[in-house]
Amino acid sequence: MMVMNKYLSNIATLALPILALTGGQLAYGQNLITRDEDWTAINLTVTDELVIPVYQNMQLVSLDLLTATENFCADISVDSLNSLRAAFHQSMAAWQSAQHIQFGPITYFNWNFRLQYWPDDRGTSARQLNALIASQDETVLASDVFPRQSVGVQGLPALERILFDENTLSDFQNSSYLCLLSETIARNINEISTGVSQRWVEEYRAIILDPVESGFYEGAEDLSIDFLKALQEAIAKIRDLKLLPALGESFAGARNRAAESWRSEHSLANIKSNLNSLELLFSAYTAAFYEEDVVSVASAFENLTATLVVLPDSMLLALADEEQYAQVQALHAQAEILHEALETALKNTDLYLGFNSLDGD
Amino acid sequence: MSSLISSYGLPRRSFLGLAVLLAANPAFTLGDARQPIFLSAASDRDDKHWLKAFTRNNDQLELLYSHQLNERAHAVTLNNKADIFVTVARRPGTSLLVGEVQSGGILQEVQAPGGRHFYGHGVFSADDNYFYTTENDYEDMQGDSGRIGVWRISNTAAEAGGEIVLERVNEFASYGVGPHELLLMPDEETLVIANGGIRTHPDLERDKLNIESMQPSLTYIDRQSGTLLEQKRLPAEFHQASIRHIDINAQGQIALSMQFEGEPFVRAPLVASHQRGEAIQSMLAPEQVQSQMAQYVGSIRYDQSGRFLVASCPRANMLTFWDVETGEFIRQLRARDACGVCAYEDGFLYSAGTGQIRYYDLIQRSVTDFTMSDDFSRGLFWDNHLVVA
Repeated sequence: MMVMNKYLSNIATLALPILALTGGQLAYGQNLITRDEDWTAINLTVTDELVIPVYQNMQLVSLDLLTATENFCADISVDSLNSLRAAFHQSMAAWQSAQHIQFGPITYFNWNFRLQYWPDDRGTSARQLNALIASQDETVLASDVFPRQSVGVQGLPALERILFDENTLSDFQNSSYLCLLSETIARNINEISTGVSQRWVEEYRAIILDPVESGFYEGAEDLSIDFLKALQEAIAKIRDLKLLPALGESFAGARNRAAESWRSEHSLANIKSNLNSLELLFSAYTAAFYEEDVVSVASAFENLTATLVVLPDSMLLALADEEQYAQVQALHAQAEILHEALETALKNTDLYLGFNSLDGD
Repeated sequence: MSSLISSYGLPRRSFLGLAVLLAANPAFTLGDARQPIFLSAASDRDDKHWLKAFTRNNDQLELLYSHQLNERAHAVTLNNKADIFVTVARRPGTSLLVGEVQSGGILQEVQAPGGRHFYGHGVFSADDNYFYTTENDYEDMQGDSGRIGVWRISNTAAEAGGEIVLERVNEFASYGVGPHELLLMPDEETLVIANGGIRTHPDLERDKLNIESMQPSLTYIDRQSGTLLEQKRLPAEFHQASIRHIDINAQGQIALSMQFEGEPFVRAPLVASHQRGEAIQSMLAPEQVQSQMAQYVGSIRYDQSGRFLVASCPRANMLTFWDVETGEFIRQLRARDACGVCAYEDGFLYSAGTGQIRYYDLIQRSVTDFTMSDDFSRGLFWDNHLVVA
């Protein structure tokens, strides 16, 4: 009940003053938050507490990743590989905490796809990466050339593919090019993380403060909808892309390799990072929703978290056990319930995530 | 081919005052030629679908009439001379609704022939005698299944008090798959068709069945014989750029907009222009803008001068403006879920899935908001296209 209490306290502190302003006469289908300054206050809190720190953390841990890559290449051993893999997990976890934010600086220069292009249904990453390694071409690794290469070779999935192979150690011992490439990818991840982080601090925070003057938004509510859309789309992504394909048709037909980060066996760890961020984001916007809807969404989050906490980080391990397979199935069903609860909460207000943008022709 | 399917004519004035909801402002005079009439399809929170018509009265937009539709429509086609509108169902819908622009009276409801569905667009011939629709021969799952339906219009506006009847008289090949928007060239004899290239089947919801092999084209045909006159494609590397929407200026230059089905990070052209006999000229926005357009343009229109374009990007929540004379991107404007656009005064009126309708002045670079009564705009999602009579 800790989670529930957290949400209800948010309602008490944020929603009640706004309801008081309107005399508590709001009916379903109306927005509970009507003043731009109220939206801006929440948007700013989200930016300062849930966005900028997350990107700054990415910047920090991706620097650790680069250092760990350099250390590994200086001394190729089981221990240094384990350290490098641990650093990779940290960078991936940091990205998973920010993955839902698909607007703002992360969309500049294809930074989002260059950090992680997934799902990669057409095998772009494997094809491009194999071609690059076969070419041993060092000219494409130059700092002004590499960012223009295929997104499939630039980001976390490419590095994962190199670092989490059963032959990684011997491959690196036999190929100095793999070191050059890994260091280039790690540096690229750090540069992108730094770019996104700096843009939020130096440019986008000012937009959050005054969204209309900046010309970037129609109003503070418009900006809030970007955050709420990020929340709803991320839940759909967990349900439709991170869980459903891996479940397959049955226990016997489960497909671990359809999961995100299956090579590093962190598919479910990713979802834990996602949910932590998403729950915090929702809790920041509870004042925008009716109390019973907040309770429904909070309860759905709580159920998901409770199921997830008993599962391993690895989807491979979870799918290998029939009982745990059933838990992953339950997780999928709970993600659907969460999505529906949030959809209902949104429908009961006047906040629209999209019509033409979601189902145009 | 079956000829006329489930269509029936209605007296021109039969629905006046019955299905028509008059404006909230009773002082407004229906049929006043000085007032622009805007039409768009829309849906509401209860998943009901509508045709809505409204006008501008200073800083207010006022509802003129509203008709509930039996399925979601996509675009409304106008014939100002004959005072007729036709609302076309969106894929895989099968209905047309014919009515009078000024009065809002319904004249006819028409169904597509068996084995065909519409793609949301149609166009009139200049002599008012024919109406053309883009259609799918969906049993043909291998070949060029795009069709252009030919409908004869009987008893046009010149015969006031008569009946309007759309009668299916013929169909042509569109010379492609998934034809979407089509227009009449200034020579009044040539139809230009955006063959989107994507194969679909009504039994498979809205699944896209040939993304890897799709071959969209811009195709010109003779409107009387259906003969292929010219066909142009984008460079092969952009064969997944579905050419969906087009507009035309007085010089016969075509503006094209695309929806790219390939990788989301590819810098694919989403806006282009074409002049008969020449190659398609692609236009790209600066990288930071282009990468945010989400590979999707929902609607494209020239301004009244025929030099400037607006291309709406609802997935990116923005409108983009272009100068076709220089081939350059001019600027962008934030507009949440905006898709419908039409040339109006010194810029464009635009409608959004949020229910908002605004005016952007290209010269002043200013946005004008309008007041709208709650019963008009509240809980309403404006659909893909907006037209002005």
